[in-house]
Amino acid sequence: MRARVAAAPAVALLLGALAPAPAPAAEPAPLEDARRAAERIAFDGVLEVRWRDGVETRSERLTVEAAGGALMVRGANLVMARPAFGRLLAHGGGGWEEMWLPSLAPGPRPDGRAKYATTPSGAGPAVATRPTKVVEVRRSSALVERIYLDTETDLLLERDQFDAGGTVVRTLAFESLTYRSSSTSPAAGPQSPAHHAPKAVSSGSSAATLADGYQRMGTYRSGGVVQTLYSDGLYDLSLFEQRGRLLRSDLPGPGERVAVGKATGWRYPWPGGQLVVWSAGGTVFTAVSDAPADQVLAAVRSLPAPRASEPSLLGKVRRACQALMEPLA
Amino acid sequence: MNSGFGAPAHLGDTISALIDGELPATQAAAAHAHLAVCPTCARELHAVSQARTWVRSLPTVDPPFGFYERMLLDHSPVPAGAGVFAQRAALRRRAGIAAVGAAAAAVTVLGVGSPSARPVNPAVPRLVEAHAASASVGADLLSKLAPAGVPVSFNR
Repeated sequence: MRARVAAAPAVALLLGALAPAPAPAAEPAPLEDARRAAERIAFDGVLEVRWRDGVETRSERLTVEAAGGALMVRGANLVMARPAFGRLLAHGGGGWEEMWLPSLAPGPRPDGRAKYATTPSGAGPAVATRPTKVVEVRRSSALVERIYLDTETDLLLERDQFDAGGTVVRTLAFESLTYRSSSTSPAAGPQSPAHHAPKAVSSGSSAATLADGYQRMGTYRSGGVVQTLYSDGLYDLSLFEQRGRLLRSDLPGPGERVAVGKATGWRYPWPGGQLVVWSAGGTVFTAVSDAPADQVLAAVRSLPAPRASEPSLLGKVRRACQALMEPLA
Repeated sequence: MNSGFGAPAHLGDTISALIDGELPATQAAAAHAHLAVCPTCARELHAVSQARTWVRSLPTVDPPFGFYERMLLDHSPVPAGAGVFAQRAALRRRAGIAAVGAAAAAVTVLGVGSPSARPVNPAVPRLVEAHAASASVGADLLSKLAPAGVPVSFNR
């Protein structure tokens, strides 16, 4: 991925007439404070995203602008969060697409405090010249995240994620930040974005819980893809299901080979976390999450074995034999 | 292969050799001449060609996770000086591995290689964006949504 801070078109943040709906969240308190701060404060700055990709560390810079509960992220993609949970995205100079509608509010997140302990650890180093207070998120005494909040505003200035060995695997940090006094912002938003938001559907046979405390928050469908959203209170995991089989040639790249039940899957890091792709029972699964890799793998391995919709082994043998014998009959 | 290509006899196994391009030029010409006048052989040629195409179009599939590793571990050489019984046991084990391998290949071709399920190419960048959009609802926007500003690409 190339670092490209797009010369963004004159697209401005939309100040919706609607007040933000109540947040269906129960994140650990410091992150809940950070969420409120990002929706309350007007600011702009440059955010660096760094992530481990095998032995390599990669990074990208994004510009962010927030006002009145709306947030705009400018990178090679433009991403916009409207108040009341509307989400829009535009690919490098393309038109806006509506990715999420306020009416799709998922269920509440589980209480992250059951799994993680958050402890203040005093003052931290300045981030983007702002003084910070540090909060550590631990699971069974192992450090999972270190979060740097602005001492005065509670805005999240840096967030570091650690692997089981204590190495930083992913970082999000402001390089520069400017608070604006006024929350007014240009009010022109995308006039007629393409509608690509999913529809909420019945959870059907999707698992209500996954290993490591992940609980289902909602199930959605877009075309032939069903998404089930899970959360453990701190991290989220989307499980996408598509009927069919996976060809090696269709894999997104040379990922790490992993076992998911009896199937072979492939794991890839992305700037926001991890994803795993595998195929089983006539369905292609893609799990996307911001959780550490070990949690994502534990969660997907706990999925019940998919019921095969194909014929029994005897049926397959019979069908194959028929196909082979037909020409000779 | 049939002894000759006269009109009364059919091509039989020669059809496979013809399809595989293994016949000498003179025999291939004779076979084509026979096919021109023998509808039975022409039908068989068509059917065998179809079957061959079908088998060759089966997708490459992965063996079960760890299959190669287990096979390599079990395939350790017999130590020098081992008794004849140990050598026979090793041979039996290798024969067993070969049989299991063949059976696995057959089951794989019959079971997984069935052309009934259509191939799916997961649009990973779109799925990542959909995840970021949904996971950012009610959460810290900078943490959950900002990474979607970086397009996902795994071409290194």
